[in-house]
Amino acid sequence: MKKHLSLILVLVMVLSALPLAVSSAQDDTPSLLIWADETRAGVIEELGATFEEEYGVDLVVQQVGFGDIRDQLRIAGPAGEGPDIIIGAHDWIGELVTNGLLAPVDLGDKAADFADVAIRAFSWDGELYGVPYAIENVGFFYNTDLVETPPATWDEVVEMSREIMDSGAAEYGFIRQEGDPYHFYPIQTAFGGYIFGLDENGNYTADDVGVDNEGSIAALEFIQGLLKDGLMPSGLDGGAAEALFMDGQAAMYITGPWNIGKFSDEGVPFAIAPIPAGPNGDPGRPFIGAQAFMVSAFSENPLLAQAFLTEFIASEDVQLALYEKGNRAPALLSAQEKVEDPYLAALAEAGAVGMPMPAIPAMSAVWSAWGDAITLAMQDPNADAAELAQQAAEAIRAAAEGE
Amino acid sequence: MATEQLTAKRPAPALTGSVLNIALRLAALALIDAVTIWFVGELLGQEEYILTGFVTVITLGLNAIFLIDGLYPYRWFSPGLALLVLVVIYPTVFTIYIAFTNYRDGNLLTRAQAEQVLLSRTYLPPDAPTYRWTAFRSEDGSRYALWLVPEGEGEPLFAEEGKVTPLSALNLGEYALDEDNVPTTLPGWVRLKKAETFKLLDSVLSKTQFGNPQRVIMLNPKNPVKQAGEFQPQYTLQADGSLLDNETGVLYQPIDGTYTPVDGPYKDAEGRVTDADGNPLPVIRPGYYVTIGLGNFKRLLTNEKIREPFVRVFIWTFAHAFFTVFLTFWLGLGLALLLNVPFTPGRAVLRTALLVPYAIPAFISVLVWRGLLNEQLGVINKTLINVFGLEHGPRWTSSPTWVKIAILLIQLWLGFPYMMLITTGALQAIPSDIYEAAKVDGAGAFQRFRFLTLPLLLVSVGPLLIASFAFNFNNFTIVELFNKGGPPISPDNPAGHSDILITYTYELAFGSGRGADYGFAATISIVIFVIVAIITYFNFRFTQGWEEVSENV
Repeated sequence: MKKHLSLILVLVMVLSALPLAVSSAQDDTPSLLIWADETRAGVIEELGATFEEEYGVDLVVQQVGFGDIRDQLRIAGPAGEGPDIIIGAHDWIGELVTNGLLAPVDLGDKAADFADVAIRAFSWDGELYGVPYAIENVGFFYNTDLVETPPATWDEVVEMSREIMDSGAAEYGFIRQEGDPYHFYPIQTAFGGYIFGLDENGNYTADDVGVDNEGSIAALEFIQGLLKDGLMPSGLDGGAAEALFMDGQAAMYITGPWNIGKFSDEGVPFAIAPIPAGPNGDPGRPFIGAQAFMVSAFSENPLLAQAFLTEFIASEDVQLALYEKGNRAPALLSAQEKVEDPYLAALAEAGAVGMPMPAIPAMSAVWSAWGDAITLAMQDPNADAAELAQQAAEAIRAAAEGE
Repeated sequence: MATEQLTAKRPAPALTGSVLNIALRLAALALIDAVTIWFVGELLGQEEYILTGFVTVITLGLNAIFLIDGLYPYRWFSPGLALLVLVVIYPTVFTIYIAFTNYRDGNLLTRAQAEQVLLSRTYLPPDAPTYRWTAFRSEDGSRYALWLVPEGEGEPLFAEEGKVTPLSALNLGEYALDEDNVPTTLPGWVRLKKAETFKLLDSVLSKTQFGNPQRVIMLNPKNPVKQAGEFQPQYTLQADGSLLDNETGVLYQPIDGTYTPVDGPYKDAEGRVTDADGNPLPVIRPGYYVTIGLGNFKRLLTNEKIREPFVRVFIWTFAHAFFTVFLTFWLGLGLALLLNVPFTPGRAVLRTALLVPYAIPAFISVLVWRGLLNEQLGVINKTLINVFGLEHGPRWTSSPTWVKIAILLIQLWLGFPYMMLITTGALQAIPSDIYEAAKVDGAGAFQRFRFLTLPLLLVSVGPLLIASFAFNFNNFTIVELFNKGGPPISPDNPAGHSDILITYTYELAFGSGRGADYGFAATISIVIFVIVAIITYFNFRFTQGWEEVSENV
């Protein structure tokens, strides 16, 4: 019995040492792990083959859901199991940088080759945190069967809505969903409102919250007026509003490039115009969003990852290929010029007066508090818009100061 | 024969049976131990001490069970025990631990990870030159060097490990420079193409100290392909764990895991560290997480903005769970009684049909209901408006009252089949002779139901009702999916009219407005756990009354 036992103990020890031996084996070809969502994973893999061949490195593309990329990076990155490179949207960077998950990138002179708004969108505290590949913004979509020339001002929108409804051509003219500060921003800015002011360096600052200024309140009251006059249905969510526009029951709607494919497939006769101007001639400024490839701070091949971004993602071919799949305008200017698409050109026109979407931490309070204010104003058209706006502004200021 | 009897009487000790048998059994054990040792090594590397402890305890337990004869019976449920420890006890302990830490956005990393991130940062001193570089490899392949062409003024340099030679000191002779000022060949060296250097970036070039101690030249970590220069580390780690910013001279001390400026060349009247222009300096991120004692609990109890909605949310949570159980139970019982009547035609079909809501995932049903109850486009409101000529239908998603009714309606739809199922079973278990006895005594139908059916039913169904109550107390899916806790109460109130505790917690901890705060979320979930535990306790006390009924039958 004793003999067995000692034999077995030896066995245990030998087997225990096994994994150590296995893990010491090494491979001298460096590899990069990229997390991309389903629309981009395929393109990266295809195009990446040339990169692999040229530079003698391995690319591994893992498909991860777009939202999961951000959530999982915070766990997997520090644990050393994360990717070297991720695809993401610029409004993530505040959170990711605060948590120390991203490594800064320096494009050098090449930065000038990109749309300025895209570079600004991915800058945080003076550092750039990604190589942008796409920009997007919303525009004023209208049904060409119902609207001949797009309205230039919001007053014209009201008139047209009334005409369309009176003539019975469609159930509604202009519609929008409840809440949703992102889609409300163009209306807000047309009436002279804003969310955050800019500091002397041109960066958004939470010291200047504008959701309770006259313009923002006027924009809320304008929407309330549409509801009061019965020109717009209440209680719409994003899906319902989209369905109304798609069925031709509504003539005008603010949305973005992600719906172009769907509307075209459904045969909706539509065109895109810039956002109508406000009563003082202020243009409606949409938010500009950007998407980029970013380097994880916990990458084991950080320099190679940087090289992949600056040499590969920043190239025209790759930017164009990504455009083909994603239907969003390339962030690289030379690639943007090669794109010939009337819809994207129209959206770019609408976005010419756009503002980068703020990524400062107080922005998350805007989504909740200002979103609530818009929702409440629309749910009760007789509610005091000024009071709601003030409550929202106070909540945002409190959040900016750390509660 | 004798040994056979022995094994038959006593449970097989660990080290009996054929040698092969023992060897196999112990090989399996050895394999588990091997995996554990490897796993523990990995976990320790990541500073996961709690999980390491649990994995070690589980493995030691398994070894004990399989090696000590007395613990033989445990062998059969050792997998269950191991899983219990790993997936029930460990998360509970971990949640409690997290509740006492500041684990949240900005403090997500461990100390070692935060230091790793911050210490890898570099800066370029104001006068430091930058270069375009070309890599060379010695002919024997053992060493690397960089040919550096200044981006500003100056002459090209050849930087080897520990040595810098300017162009003028190199006797290049016939080795001319190309148009980029790079020699095409150098004696003893092989010029590398840019493409060849990519795979060397991290393994060789970033690890080599080019230049001499006075002039340490490294590739720009942010733009390695294009630029090299005399980059300096941004921070130096001090003996007490603080970080000294080499560029500005500011000292950052970790306070609760957040690197906070405590000393520097500039200070304002209040003693805050400022930059040269007098603006107070912010903390640097990332920080790391530390235990902060009762900080999260204090915040929950003292922050008025969080506490005020808590009471309102708590009342609705309670009402929601109670009415859900109450309504589904009575509807389910009513249908069960109806379908229990033997002469109901087609009752098998009906019974099956009525189970459909139960069979469809709640996830989908709620989304369908969301569509049906849409205030403008939903079938329900459209019908109500057309039939009754109303101006508008019930405001299912925007009125504080209607939204609660809508949620209870959905709960009723989703929940009654379950109640019907369990009451049908319980009804059939009630002996029929007691009804005959009651009839003989002159009890009417209602009396028979009230004094016989109901008490006997509750004996078996009661615990299930309590379970259902506890489940609906935390029924996140329905409330979140239907209206995200909305409509909002006011823009400055984090809770919505239909929020229950768990959705409110979610909004506070992960929702928009605050970023992720796992420590605080863990704290609230402990509070919810305590509340549910108390309710369950009293419910059990209450149901003991029913048990007496069953004993008397």
